Amino acid sequence: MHIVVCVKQVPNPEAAFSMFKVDEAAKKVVPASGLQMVMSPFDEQALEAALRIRDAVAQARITVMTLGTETARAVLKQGLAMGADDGVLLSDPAFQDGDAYSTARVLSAAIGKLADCDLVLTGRQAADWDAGIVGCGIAELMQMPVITFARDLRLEGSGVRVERVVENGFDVIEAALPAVVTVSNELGAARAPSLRETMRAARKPVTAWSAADLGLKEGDAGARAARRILERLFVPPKKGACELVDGATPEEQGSNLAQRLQQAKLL
Amino acid sequence: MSARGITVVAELSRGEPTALSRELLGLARGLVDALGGPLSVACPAADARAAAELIAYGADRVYASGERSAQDYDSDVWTHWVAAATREAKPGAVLIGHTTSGADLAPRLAFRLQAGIATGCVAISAEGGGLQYTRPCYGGNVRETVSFNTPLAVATVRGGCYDALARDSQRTGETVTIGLDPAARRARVLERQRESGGDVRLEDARVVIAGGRGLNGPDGFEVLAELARELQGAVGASRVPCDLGWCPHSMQIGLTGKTVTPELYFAVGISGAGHHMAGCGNARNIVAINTDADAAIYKDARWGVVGDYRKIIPSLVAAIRELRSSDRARDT
Amino acid sequence: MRKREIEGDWILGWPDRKRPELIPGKDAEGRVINGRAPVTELAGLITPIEAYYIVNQLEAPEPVHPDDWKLSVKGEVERPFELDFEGLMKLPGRSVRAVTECAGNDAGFFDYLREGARKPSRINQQDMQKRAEQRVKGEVPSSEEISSESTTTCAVSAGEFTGVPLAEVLERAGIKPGAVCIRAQGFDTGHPDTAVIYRSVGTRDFEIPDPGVIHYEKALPLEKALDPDTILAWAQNGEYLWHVHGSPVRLIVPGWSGNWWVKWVEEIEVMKAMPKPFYQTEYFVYGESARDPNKPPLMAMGVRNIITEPLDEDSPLLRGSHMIRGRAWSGMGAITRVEVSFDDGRTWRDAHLEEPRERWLWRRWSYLWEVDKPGQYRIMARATDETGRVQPQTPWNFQRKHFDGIVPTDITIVEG
Repeated sequence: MHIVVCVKQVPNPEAAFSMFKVDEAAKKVVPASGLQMVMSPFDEQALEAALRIRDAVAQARITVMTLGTETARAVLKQGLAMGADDGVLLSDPAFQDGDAYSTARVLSAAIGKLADCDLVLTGRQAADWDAGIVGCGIAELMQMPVITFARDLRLEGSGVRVERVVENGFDVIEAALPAVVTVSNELGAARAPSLRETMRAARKPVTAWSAADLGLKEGDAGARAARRILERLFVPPKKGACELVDGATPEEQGSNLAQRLQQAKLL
Repeated sequence: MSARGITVVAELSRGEPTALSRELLGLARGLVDALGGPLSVACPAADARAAAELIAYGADRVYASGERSAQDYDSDVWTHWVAAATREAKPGAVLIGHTTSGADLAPRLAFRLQAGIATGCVAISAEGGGLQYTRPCYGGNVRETVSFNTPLAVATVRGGCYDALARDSQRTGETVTIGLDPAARRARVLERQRESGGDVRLEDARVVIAGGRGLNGPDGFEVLAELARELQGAVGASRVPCDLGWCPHSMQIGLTGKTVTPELYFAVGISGAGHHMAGCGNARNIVAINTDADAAIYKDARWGVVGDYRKIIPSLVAAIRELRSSDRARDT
Repeated sequence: MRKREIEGDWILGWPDRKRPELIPGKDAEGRVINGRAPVTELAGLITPIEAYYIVNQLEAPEPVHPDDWKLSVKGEVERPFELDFEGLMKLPGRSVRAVTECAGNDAGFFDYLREGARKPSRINQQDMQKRAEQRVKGEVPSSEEISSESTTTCAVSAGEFTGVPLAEVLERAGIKPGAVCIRAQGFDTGHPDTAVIYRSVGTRDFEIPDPGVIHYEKALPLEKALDPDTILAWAQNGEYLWHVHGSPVRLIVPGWSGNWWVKWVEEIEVMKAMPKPFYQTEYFVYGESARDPNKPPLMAMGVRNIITEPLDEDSPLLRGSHMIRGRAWSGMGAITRVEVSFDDGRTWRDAHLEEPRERWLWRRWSYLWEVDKPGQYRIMARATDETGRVQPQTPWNFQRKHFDGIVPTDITIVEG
């Protein structure tokens, strides 16, 4: 059983937004220089889902894979410290400045190169662009079934059984392997790296592949392959002044608020 | 792109087009009026009645499968079917509601049809003969506006951003049947579990009271429920209480979770981070109740109360009850 | 109290004295790979772990969790076997208190005593970070750096080690007759750092053969290996060994210099002929020069002694009473006597030796010096160990190792 978990390095989404600047002219979001880069939280949960499968099944090899620059090795290291067995870094200037489509193309080529992948897991969306496209994109490009928003997944028989979150409950869906599953936060907290796995992580193999290693040519990846054109990047202006409702006591605040709502005919 | 029209993928709830589907029709109508072309709707489960409703709300043509089995979302079957309908309609863009179904269908459809894709859009506009899509990113704090270099684009749209057209039963349109292909199914739905749910759905509620980390415990939701009862509202939550197990995930409002557009939204113990505001930002009136006077939520709120919700809300409930009963007394 | 900079330390929330700190050298990722101990600031016998000196000849390895660790016992034995961490701790254990000293500690005093070279200072420490960066980059220091610098006083510490005598492990394996030594190998690997050797010798005018990438290993003669105080330690100063000090297991060879105390032990091999490990054939050897055909490996240290008070020779003292203090230790047993002299060694008086008297731990000593006349004074101190050896024991050798000469402290006494 070989599980590939696709992860993305993003600026820490828990950081206050004041730590980011939007350069409208360059159409780039610039995080403050001290800002920590982390594994996108939904991707952590995707890795957690893989680890839970291995806890149950024992014979699973987990590869953690990322498309990024050399700094992205840190998320591979984090993944290895959580318990993944090996890492793949997809790093090449030709991969940069792409969109979800070009990213899905590169990841699909890499997963294909691994050849024996049974299950591809990824977070439902990345904590920077929040798009939620790449997981389904990989499935379409590799012609695999895909199940999104998993809150639980297990191996059953020769397939995977997934509980998929919907608005007011969940569906139970099964698919034969190989398949793609995207993981949602309802899965629960990802495990913290244990001391032992952190020490072992330093010895686990990490392979780096370039465009040439994947047999990708100019136009297959990065900016040249992208379908999306970024027209504008901006911070939306805030609405307007908030009226503070006062009162000598909290109880008075409550009744004053009621008055305001009534005057606005909202009750 | 121009003059090719737009296809809207509609969902039904209890046989009727959902409010979000009707909003998409309103949006699409405005766009085809600017750019030309027909407005078609792809709604696999639509029967004659539903099709008539879709036409009354703006569709020129409705594609349906004629099969009731299509009413529950099935990723493989719907992707295959909507792709077929899109190939028939040949629009410049496909618009889908940003629901768990839409967010699953849209990227699959886009890759299947070599189309561009933008998810969770809050605005779509016609620019220079084409369409531009604006969506939140970076946890809801930033907006990106994008266009595509492909002939077709697929977009999901959040609720509450556009208005539906006024229902016009005089409108006419045609219905086209495209059969489902069950062979397309690779993932099988074994069962569907649904919560019995409260009286009011979050997405439909006129009043929503949402709690965040500042509730300081699950019992805080009982305080909110009191207010909800008084105002016939629904209770929701930001992500933190759901992840902490204080309430079910189905109550989550935000970038992930539900989008709500009530007339009145109470944000109790919620800091106002972008990813939550992405789910409630289009509420018409926001009331923020928080002990932290510097919380970001006050920038989005119409009214703000700084203090302990456990004391403020019971008094608010009592005052509302008073005002309403004196209103009733006055009106009789 | 508001937390602000104070000349002390905030310890567990309370304002307190400043703790003596290791002088560290770190790699590019901020991990400590070497460090010198503030020996002259110690108040008692045991050196706190966080101040314990660190020297690595090869690369500091990535840590191995004790649950992943195995000790392989093999070679000329009846029953080769593997031991895991739990298994090792189940063997009959022992604690040993001993001084750990780098063979090159105080090397600079050799040239001072022999050639009247500039006297090394016990106060001014070397730039450990610069050394670390050079090591990481694989740079060789300049001739000037090589000839001017030496490790002074700070590459020695004393600790309490808990573990199992090597003899216990070997007994389980059953040593075959004809065995002469035990080869201990660590899981640290790397290319020997020639800069270290050049610095030790003080010149760069000789070749050092390149063995390639090797494991750190030492071949310990059988007699010392079977000494009950030669232990495989898993704990230091009451807690499990830190990674920088050789976790999970370190070989403790009391009285022999630090290069014998193999860290990160992974293999014990009993051998019937002495092998030629790099670190006892090319480095850590005696000899007249690099070309000397006879370069036996360093083993037991000599008789060591340092004067810790007064320390600053540049600060005059007032006439009156002064406590002269120091520490003495030996590579062959307990210190039994320390004497001081104020007349260039013509006459000697006994200093007060503190209890306890232990085989391998240093002993603090003191002498109340009453001095009336202002002027220049030279204080000397010499130690004797339980085998009867008196300082100095170690002749000059080209790598300047195991210095144990008598280093005088020159003090100026002034009017009050």
